[in-house]
Amino acid sequence: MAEHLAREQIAALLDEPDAVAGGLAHLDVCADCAGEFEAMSRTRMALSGLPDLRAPDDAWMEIRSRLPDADDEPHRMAAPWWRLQTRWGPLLAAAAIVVLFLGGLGVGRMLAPDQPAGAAVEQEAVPVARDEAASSEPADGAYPEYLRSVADLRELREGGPSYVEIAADPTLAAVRLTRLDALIEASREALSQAPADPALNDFLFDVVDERASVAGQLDRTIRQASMEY
Amino acid sequence: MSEAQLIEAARAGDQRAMGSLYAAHADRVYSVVRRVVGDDHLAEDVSQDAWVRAFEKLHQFRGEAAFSTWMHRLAVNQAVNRLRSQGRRSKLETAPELRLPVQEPDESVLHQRQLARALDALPDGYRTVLVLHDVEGLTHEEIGDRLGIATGTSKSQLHKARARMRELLAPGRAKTEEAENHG
Repeated sequence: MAEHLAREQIAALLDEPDAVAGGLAHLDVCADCAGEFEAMSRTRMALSGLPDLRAPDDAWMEIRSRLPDADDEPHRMAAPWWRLQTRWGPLLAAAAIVVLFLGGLGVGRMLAPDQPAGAAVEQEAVPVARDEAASSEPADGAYPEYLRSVADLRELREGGPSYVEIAADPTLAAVRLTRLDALIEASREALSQAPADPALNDFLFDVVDERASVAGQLDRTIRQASMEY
Repeated sequence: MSEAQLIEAARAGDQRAMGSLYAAHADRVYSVVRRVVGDDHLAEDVSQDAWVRAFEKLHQFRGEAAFSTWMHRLAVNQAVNRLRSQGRRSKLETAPELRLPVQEPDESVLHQRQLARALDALPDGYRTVLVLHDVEGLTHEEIGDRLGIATGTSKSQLHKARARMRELLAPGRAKTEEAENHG
């Protein structure tokens, strides 16, 4: 092997000795690249040992000021997120865009067989969403429609088998994953239209999070089953 | 009061319980957010948003994972979302103010400061993957899930980030990735 390894190649060798053909052999004969490898290895070790940083001392007061008054409304924190929003426009527009793409991708029916409300999303909410997606701020009269869209979308997300049901019947995890995959696809399509929309990003991450959780649960179940077998 | 009891009380709106949960996990959350976003002021803002959102979503916490894990995921999501919504910013224009680590300083502090500065100077995408993998210990599969990217993309970003870190920490080295690549 001639010359030197590129830094990216050396970086790959830190985790996967086979990542670069002849890479390890080269490190044996090239002091320069071996030195880079050692330096990168030390940096990686140092990064993994970085201590926690101290959170700002006054942060809790700021956070507390943004929390609802427990004495006035003790159970308010358990309310669904869309009822907690005070700035409806961007959130609802984002949700409507996702609903629009759910309809466009034809996934509404796929998601909805066990969920009649889901069908309503495709049939009723999409035309409203399509109209409103053209404007940045929904008209006041459209708020009820948007609320329905958001509620339907949320129901699509939260509907389907629960964790307990999935634990009892692992095949339900596949059903849930299919629903989540469709939502992820629709969300990403929507994000391609509004990549900087924080509400849309937030929704996508929520769904991706849940998908990872369900996939992990399925993986554990399969491993456990194979061990028992 | 156990953490499970604190969570239950916080769900019911008990702000003292929320405060206790915050106190137990604030440094961990702030650390990952600060390192992902690469900016003190943004980190404070994002951390606060993450905590407020966590308390809003606490009814969704089902206990499959530890609260610390759930909170970590939420904080990372919040940080990545913010970076995406703000777009990429130059990190080389300002020298970041460094927060003191929780541990007492020792002979490695200088190196830690160099690392922190180099991390802050990375492009957002590189830094996010590097922090999640090399600092936080996530696998590429987990990073892919969190960021919505392919495992291969995560690996590629990590390797580029490490190479960039070396350039930032050892700028005197003559060779570059392109010029020194060999067949």
